[in-house]
Amino acid sequence: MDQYTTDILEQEQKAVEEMITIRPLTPQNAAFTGTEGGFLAMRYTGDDGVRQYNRVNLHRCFPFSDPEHDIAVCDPTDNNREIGLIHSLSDFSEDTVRLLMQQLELRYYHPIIKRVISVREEMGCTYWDTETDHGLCRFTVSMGGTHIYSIGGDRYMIEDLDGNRFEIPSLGKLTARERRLLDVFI
Amino acid sequence: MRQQDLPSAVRTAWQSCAAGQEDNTPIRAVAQGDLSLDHSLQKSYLILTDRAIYHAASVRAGEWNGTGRMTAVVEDEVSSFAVYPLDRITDPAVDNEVIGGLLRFKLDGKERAICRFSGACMRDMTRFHRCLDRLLQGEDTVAPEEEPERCCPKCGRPYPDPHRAVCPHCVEKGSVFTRVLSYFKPYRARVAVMLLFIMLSAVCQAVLPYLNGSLFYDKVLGRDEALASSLGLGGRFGLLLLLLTMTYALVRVLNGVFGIFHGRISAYIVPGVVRALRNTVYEALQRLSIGFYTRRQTGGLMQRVIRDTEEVFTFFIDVLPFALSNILTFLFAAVIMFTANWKLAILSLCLLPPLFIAFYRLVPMMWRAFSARARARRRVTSNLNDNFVGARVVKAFGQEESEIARFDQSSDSLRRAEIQVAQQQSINAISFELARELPTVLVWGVGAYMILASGGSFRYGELLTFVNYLTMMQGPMRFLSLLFRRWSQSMSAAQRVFEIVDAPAEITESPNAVDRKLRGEITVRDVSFSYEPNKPVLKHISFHVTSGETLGIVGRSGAGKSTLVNLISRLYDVEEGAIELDGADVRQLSFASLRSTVAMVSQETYIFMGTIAENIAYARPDATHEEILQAAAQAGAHRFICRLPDGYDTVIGTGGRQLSGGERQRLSIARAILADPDILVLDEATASVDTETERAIQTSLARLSQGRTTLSIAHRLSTLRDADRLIVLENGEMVESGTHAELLAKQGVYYKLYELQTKALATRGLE
Ligand SMILES: Nc1ncnc2c1ncn2[C@@H]1O[C@H](COP(=O)(O)OP(=O)(O)O)[C@@H](O)[C@H]1O
Ligand SMILES: [Mg+2]
Repeated sequence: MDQYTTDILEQEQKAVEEMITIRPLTPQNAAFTGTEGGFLAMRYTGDDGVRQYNRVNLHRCFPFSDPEHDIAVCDPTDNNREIGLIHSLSDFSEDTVRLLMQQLELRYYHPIIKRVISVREEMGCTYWDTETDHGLCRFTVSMGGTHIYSIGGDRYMIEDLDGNRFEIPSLGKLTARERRLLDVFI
Repeated sequence: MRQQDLPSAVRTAWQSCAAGQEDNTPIRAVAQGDLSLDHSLQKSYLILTDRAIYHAASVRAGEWNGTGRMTAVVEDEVSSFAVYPLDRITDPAVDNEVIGGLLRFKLDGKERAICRFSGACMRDMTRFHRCLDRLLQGEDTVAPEEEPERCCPKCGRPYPDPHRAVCPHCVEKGSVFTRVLSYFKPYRARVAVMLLFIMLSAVCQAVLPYLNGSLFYDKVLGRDEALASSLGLGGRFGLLLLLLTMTYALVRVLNGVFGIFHGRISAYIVPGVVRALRNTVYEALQRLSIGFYTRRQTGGLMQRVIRDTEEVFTFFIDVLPFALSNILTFLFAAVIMFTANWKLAILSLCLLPPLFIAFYRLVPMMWRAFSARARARRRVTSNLNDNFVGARVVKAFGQEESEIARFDQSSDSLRRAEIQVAQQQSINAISFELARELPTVLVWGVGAYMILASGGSFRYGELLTFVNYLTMMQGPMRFLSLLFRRWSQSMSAAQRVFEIVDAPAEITESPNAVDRKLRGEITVRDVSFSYEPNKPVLKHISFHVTSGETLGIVGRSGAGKSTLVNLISRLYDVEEGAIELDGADVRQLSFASLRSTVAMVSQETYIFMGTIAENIAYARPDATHEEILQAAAQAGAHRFICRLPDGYDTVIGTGGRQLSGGERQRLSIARAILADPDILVLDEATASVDTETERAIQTSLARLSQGRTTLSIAHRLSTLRDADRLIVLENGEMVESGTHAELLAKQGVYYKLYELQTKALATRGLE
C-alpha cells in the first residue's frame, strides 16, 4: 500500500473517531469571548492542540427538557461540525454564562404566550391573537398536520405558517376562558 | 417586500442619508426585518444600492400581525441609518435559526450580525442576500425581483399555502356553493322533480295536525253541523269520522310515497355527481407537478380528496333537501297557525327563539365532547397498537411495567372523556326537554284560558292543533340551528377540493412548445436550484454531454445528484440558468417529446397495480411479448420472472406476491429499456441488487447505452468505471470533472473516494 493510501486511511480513521466521540468543553480547555460583531469566539486549549475559532455556534441537545445543560459548540465554517460539548453552563464564570446565553437566545428565541386573546377557526386554519412576553402577536396556524404539539406535560409549542414558534408554558396556568378557547385544538 | 412598499417616511429619511453619502445609485433591493438583535419585536429596513447597505430600525416596538408586516405604525419613525459601504463587505450569509434567521456579513474582514428576522421575512431576506451576493461579485444587472403576494390583500392574513393565493378567511362561500351546484346541472329535471316531491311531502306533514286537531275534536267530536251538511252528510257523524280517518290515513300514505320517490331520485343523482367531482380532482392531480406532491404527503392528499368530496355531498344530499322540506314545513305551520288564531300564534312564535339558541349553543358542546372522546380512544388504540407491534422490543428491554403505566394513563384520559360525554349528554337532554316543554305548557295554559274566556269561539280542538303545530316546528328548529355550521363545514371541504382542481401546475408546457426528435445532447448552463428558500441544493452547475456519451455522476448522499437528474427530465424547473437538449431549452420542448426522449430509472421504484408484463410495457402498451421478454432479459429480470408460477402474468400485490427491492429495480430497468429512450437516466438503479446481478445488468446497460446518452448515478464507483466522463458533486457544487483516469491522476476528491472504496475498504474486508 502506498503512502497516499495510508494517509487517506488514517484521515478516514480520524474522521470516524471524531464522529463517534464527544469532546467535553470545560473552563479549563475552552475560553469564550464575545466578538465586536455580536458573535461568539472560542479558544480551545486541549491535550490535542490549541485552536482558535473566530465564530462558533451553540446547539442545545435538550432545548425543551434541559436547556442549561449539554450544549454543543459547533464550527460553522466546517458544516457545523461539533467541536465539543459543554456539559453544564454553570461550570463557567458568570460573564461567560451571560455570553453563552446571549448566543443561545439568538438561536432559540421564540415568544412565550402570556395571554390568549382569541382563537378563531376558519376553513382549516386557526387565527390566533395573543399577548407574548415580547408583545402582541397575531399568527395563523394550519390545522392540517401537527402544528400544535406537547413538548412535555402541559407545555405546548405552536408553529405558525411562517415557521415561527410560540410556546404555551403551561396550559394549566391559563384562565378557564383561555382553556375553553384552546380546547378544540389541543 | 417590494420597493414601492417602503413607507414614504423611511424613503425620505433614506434619501437624505444617501445624499449625505453622495450616493445617487438606484435601489437594488429592499428587505424588512422584524426582530432586533436582542429579540424585541421591532421593524427594521434594509436598503441596498450599488454603493452601500442602509439599515434603519423603527424606534417603536412593533407587534407581529402574522404577515411579516407589523401593524402599520402611523409614521414609521426611523432612527438614523447605519451605512455599510459595499467595498468593505465580504461573505454575506443568511443563517437559519430555530425561528427565522440572521443576516450577517464581514465588515472589514470582521464577522458582523446585521439583522435578525422571523420566518415571515425569510423569503424576503434570502432574496435580498442573493441580490447583495451578486452585486458583490460584480454582476451588474440585478433586476429587482418581484415577490408574489403572500398575504390576502383584503384582510392581510397570510395564505395558508404560499403557493396558492387562497385566503380561507375571505373566500366567498357563496361562489363555492354555486360551483358545487353546477355539478348537479346535468340532472336539472330530476332535481326539479325531487324538489316537487319534497314540497308535496311537506304539505302532507303540515296538514296532519289540522286533521287530528281542529277537525277531529271540534268538527266531528264537537258535532259541528255546518261542516257535516256542507259535505252532504247532515247529522251522520259516524260517517264523517270514517271519512276523516280515511283522509288521515291517505295523507300519511302519500307522505310515505313521496318520501320513497325522493329517495330514489336522490340515490340516482348522487353517485353520478360524486363521480364527476372525483374525476375532476383526479385529472387535476395528474396534471400537477412533483413539487405539489412532495409538499403535502401523498397519502394525506388522497385521503383528503376522498373525505372532502364525501363531506361536500353529504351536505347536498342529506342536509340541503331536508333543510328545504323543513323550511317549508315551518312556513306552512306558521301560516295555518296565524289563520287559526293570530294571538296564540304570536305567543307561540315568540317562544321559539330560546329553543333555537339552546340548540345552537348546546349541540357544538356535545360535538366537542365527542371529538375529545374520539381522540382519547385513538390514543388508547395507538397505544395498544404500539405494544402489539413493538412487543418484541418491550419484552427485550423488560419494560412491561412501564408500558402498563403508560397504558393506564391513556385509558384514564379516556375515562375522563367518557365522563365528560355522559355529563354533557344529560345536560343536553334536560335542557332540550325544558326548552321544548316550557313553551308548550305556556301555550296550553294561555290557550285554555282563551277557551274559557272566548265563550265557545275558540275550542279545544283548535288548541290541540296549535300545540301540535308547535311541536312540529321544533324539529325544523333544531335542524336549522345546525344548518349554518354544516353549511360552512361543507363549503370548506368544497373549497379544499377546488383548491386542488384549480392548483396551477408549476411545470407547464410552454404555449409554443416544439415537438422535435432529439439526439440526446445535454447542456447544463450555470444551473442553481433549491427546494426551500435559503437552502440551495445545486449551485452554478455547468456541463455538456454529447450525444451517445455516458456521464457518471458521483457524490455523497445528499450532494444533489438526484436533484440534478430530476431537473433534466423536468420534474422541477431550474431556478437560475438553463438546461438544453440539442440546444433547445427543456422549457421550450413539448412534454411529449421530452418524455419520449428521457427515461429514468430512479432510486424509488414504483410498481403499478397490474401484471408484470403491463408494468414493463408501461411506457409502450403496444409492445409485443417478444419485446417485453427481451427487455426483461437485458434488465436481468427474466430469470426470476420465469420462476414465478404465473410468469409474466403475475399480478403484483395479489396472493402475497410481493417483489423484493432488487426485483422491483430490475422491473423498472426493463421498463426503461423497453421505452427505448435517447437519454437514459439511471439514478442508483442497481443499488439494491447483488453484485453478480449488477454486473449482468451493467453488461446489458453498457450494450444499451451504445449510441444513446446515459446519465448514471451510482454509489459503487466501480459501476461507473466505464463512463466516458464523470462529474463529482459536493454540497451542490461541481468540484471535479473528467474521465476516470484523469480524475485519478488529479488525486482530488474522486481519487480519495475511489481509493477509500477500492483499497481501503477492501483491506478491512468491507467490500
Ligand atoms: N423534495 C424535496 N424537498 C426538500 N428538500 C429535498 C427534496 N428532495 C431532496 N431534498 C434535499 O436536497 C438535497 C439533495 O438531495 P438529493 O438530490 O436527493 O441527493 P442525492 O441524490 O445526491 O443523495 C438533500 O439535502 C435533500 O435533503
Ligand atoms: Mg439520490
